[in-house]
Amino acid sequence: MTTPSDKTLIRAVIAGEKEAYEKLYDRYAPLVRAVCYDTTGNIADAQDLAQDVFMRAYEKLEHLLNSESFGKWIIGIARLRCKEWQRNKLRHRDMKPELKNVSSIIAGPSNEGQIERLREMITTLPEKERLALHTFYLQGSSAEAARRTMGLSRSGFYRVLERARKRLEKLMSGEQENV
Amino acid sequence: MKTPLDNDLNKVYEPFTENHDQLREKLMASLSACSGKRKGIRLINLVQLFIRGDTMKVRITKLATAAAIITAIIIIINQFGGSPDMASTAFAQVRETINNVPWMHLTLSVKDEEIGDSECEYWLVPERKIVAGRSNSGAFWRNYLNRQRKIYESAANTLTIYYERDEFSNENEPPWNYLSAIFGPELMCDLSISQHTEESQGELLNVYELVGNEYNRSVHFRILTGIDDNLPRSLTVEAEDTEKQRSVFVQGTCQYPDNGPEDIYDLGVPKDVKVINNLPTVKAKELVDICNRYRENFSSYIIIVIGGDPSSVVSGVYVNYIDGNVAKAGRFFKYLHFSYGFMFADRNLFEKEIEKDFDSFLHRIEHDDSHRPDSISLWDGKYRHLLRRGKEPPYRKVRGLGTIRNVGSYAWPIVLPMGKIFKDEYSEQNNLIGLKANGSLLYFDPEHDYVCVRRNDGQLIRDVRELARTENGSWYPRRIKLTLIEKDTDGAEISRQVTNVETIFVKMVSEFPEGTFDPDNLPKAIE
Repeated sequence: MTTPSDKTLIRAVIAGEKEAYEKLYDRYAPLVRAVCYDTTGNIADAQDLAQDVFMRAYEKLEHLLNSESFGKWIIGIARLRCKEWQRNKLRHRDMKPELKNVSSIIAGPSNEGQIERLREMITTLPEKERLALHTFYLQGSSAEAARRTMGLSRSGFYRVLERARKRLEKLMSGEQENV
Repeated sequence: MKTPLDNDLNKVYEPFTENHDQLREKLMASLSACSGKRKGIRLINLVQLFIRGDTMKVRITKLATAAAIITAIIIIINQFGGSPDMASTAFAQVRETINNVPWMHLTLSVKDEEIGDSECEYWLVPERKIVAGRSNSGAFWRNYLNRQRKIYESAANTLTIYYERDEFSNENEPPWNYLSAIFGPELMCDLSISQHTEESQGELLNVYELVGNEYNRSVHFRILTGIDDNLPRSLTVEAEDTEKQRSVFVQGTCQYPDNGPEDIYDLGVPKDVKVINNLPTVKAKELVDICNRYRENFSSYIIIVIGGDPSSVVSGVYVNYIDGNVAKAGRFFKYLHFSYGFMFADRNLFEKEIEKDFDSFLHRIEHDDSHRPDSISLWDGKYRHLLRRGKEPPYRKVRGLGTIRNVGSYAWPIVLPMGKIFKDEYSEQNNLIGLKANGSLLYFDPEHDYVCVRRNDGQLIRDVRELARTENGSWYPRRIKLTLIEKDTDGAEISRQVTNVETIFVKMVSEFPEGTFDPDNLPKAIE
């Protein structure tokens, strides 16, 4: 059985088939959560934001001009939603800046600490590289799906992904020594 | 083939697929609940710019209301820039013109039945990336170039300065897009736009009417622009919610002066205002003073390091000290330059004393409800204890074998498990001992206590720029430069200095066992 394209699913949603939206959700929700995590720094808030993003996307789905770029579009909504979240948070905290990643700096030598540190390191990468990692590792390590989501050529995508991985390695090795 | 990094990254991403099924169910249930509301939602949100309570929670209420209106206007200008019909295309030229003026000055009069009437002014300077405004309750000044945001509250007579976190716009994002975050991306409303000409005060003007109606809400924008120059001259906005029996009316005029206010003080902020500086950067001296204060509390320090970015902005203080028989490490920063991006520290962090033992620290963070992520690591001589506080769970303890990692990592030779002595041009020219280990090239200076004066990891190079001596005569690197080597799109190497590290105080006895760098004493080489 062939997997329906985003375009097919979007048409179905607009025609009133809500189940089609479930499929889009399955396809992109982890990615949207990862994008939100870059801002929130914690999974619970990222999950909440992602839900909101999918609600909003659903509401304005018929305005998506190019239904083949659903991935890119929903990431755009996620970014805006994150900005909103950040602003609300600042406002409610009396605009007190937040100590975001300190925990990662003096993290323990355990593997769990390492993974957590790595996750937090990813949030410090340039946006494009971060997104390349998100799309690749959350879409079954499929370069094709990831490059389509990012709107890049295959070679272009690999270049960005490689750059991200190298930068991560560098950051990780630097961090291990510096701390 | 999967590398260890691949495996780690797969683990990194695991949490993003957790609870997926439940979350999907929840979402679909919510969608069912709002079934049938999809088409009209955008207009509702636009009207909410004027009506809804959220806006009123913003700190300077009236300013915020005005900000909401400006946002709506700007967003509408931008939204209608891309549509193919004639009125929208003409409106796109208006947008373009606004982006090229030196100053835009808007004077707005807001009549709001709920919060009362107010007058406010806005200045937009696209080229200098400044957005400023004032009302009778305060003023703000956002300069995206020097990344400062100032907010003046007249009632408290305080001027608070913040670090500006937002980026200025590019052509896809209007300079004032930060305001749009208050309302969300769904602000692309279903307004109809029409254009006609009208004479006003002897001048023929283009009039753009943007109208939307939905349920019990309506909104009507009227923007008058010059026919020749496309610049808005005046505008009115009417928004009404008949259900809530609330309406807002805004009337504004736009001017385009050659000059405008140069600072927030030019917006009527008194010179003797109390300034609260919340900028995250601090001077080195301040940090040193803090360290010295701590020094009195503990019997001996091991090392204190201050790091800064290439422009000498101090990023933080690392303190490792001995307290009785327990080695402790702390890292304190207000502003951490982290190669890419920024991290922010609690401004009050410096004011808090370090607890003298693990339990007291635990007690503090258990009872501190700020939810500030925090961690400390302690070494009891055998085990390394890590205490970390996050949102979920509130805190946790980790105990593992090992020492505090950062003790001396900058200042003293790095002892690696395996390595190979080598010679190259650099080592010979500088009379250094070269050691190849774990893919890194290390150069030790035998005349200065074998301090590692260069470490080349391929893409990251650390160079000791200055050596200094401790009281007992041991050498240590006082200044270290870190350079990142990157490749541009053509494959050419570009070097970029990423950070400076300065060791500002050292009190440590270092002894290097005889023959530390004797090749025979090293484990067998790896290739």
